[in-house]
Amino acid sequence: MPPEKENIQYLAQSFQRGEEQGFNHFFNTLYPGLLFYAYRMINDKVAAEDIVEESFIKIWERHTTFHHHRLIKSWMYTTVRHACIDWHRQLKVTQEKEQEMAHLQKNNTETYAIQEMIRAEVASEIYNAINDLPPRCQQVFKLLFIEGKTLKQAADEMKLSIHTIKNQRARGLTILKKRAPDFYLVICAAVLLT
Amino acid sequence: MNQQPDHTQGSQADRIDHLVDLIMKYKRNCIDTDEHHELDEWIVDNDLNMHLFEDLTNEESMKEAVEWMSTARSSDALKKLKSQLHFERPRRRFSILMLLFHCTIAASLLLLLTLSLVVINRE
Repeated sequence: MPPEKENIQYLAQSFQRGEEQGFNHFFNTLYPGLLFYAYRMINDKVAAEDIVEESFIKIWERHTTFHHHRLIKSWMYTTVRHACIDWHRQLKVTQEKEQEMAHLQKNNTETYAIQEMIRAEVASEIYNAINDLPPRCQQVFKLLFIEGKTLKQAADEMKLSIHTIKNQRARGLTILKKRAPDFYLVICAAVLLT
Repeated sequence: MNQQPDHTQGSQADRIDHLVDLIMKYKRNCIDTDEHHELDEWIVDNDLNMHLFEDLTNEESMKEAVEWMSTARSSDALKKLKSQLHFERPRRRFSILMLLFHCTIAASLLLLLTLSLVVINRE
């Protein structure tokens, strides 16, 4: 389940102290969104992975200066954005295709960066909601929506009653509905859990 | 690039967080009138906002984004990063129960010691 506000602040303090627990938390919640953001900025997944990883290394070098979870997030997004701009600059030197240049100009604007940040954050909310499902719910979702098994088959496999499977399914859907309301989330969950 | 966290970054992040919050509330159908008004103002502020909002409320578009995120090899990246980073040992959380526990043990030992001394002196 997602941590409460007090706990997030505790985790931010743990991050500031340089503890693994704090790092793990912020990595797990920020990495997919940051990667998506970087990819949208540069359209190169491998380079995006490098940029995000390097940004985590950079923030860890100065972890003692971050006392609030929002600062960690905003610093990471800003750092990734700057790294993407640098990446584009290097591309400019090596490639002089007009199309690439147009992409570069479009992606370098402040407005574009903020828009993409909002997009990444909204998508992260949905992604993290699915990821935060309790393990048993995830397993039920996987069997029902990915493997396409019937309630009975899922019940047999998990050695549970059909009633329990139904309850887990309902529980998962309720959690998803609250945190990420889109109707197609079940499909997203199926994709995510593969 | 040598960035330090500052208030400017914080306020922009707050603004983005607030917008994301409004958009999620809209998607959850739990946005109140004032918030709806605020969101509307942001949407009509410019064409880019309008297009972004359309995208964010478009099921297919969001599904694609979540699908893409699901391809992120987070655990591999975490493992790789952890091998390069140094971590401090976690500090123990202060607990009143723990303090009481230690005080009780200390008091018991003190009592035991006092009783032993009394007994020894009598003998």
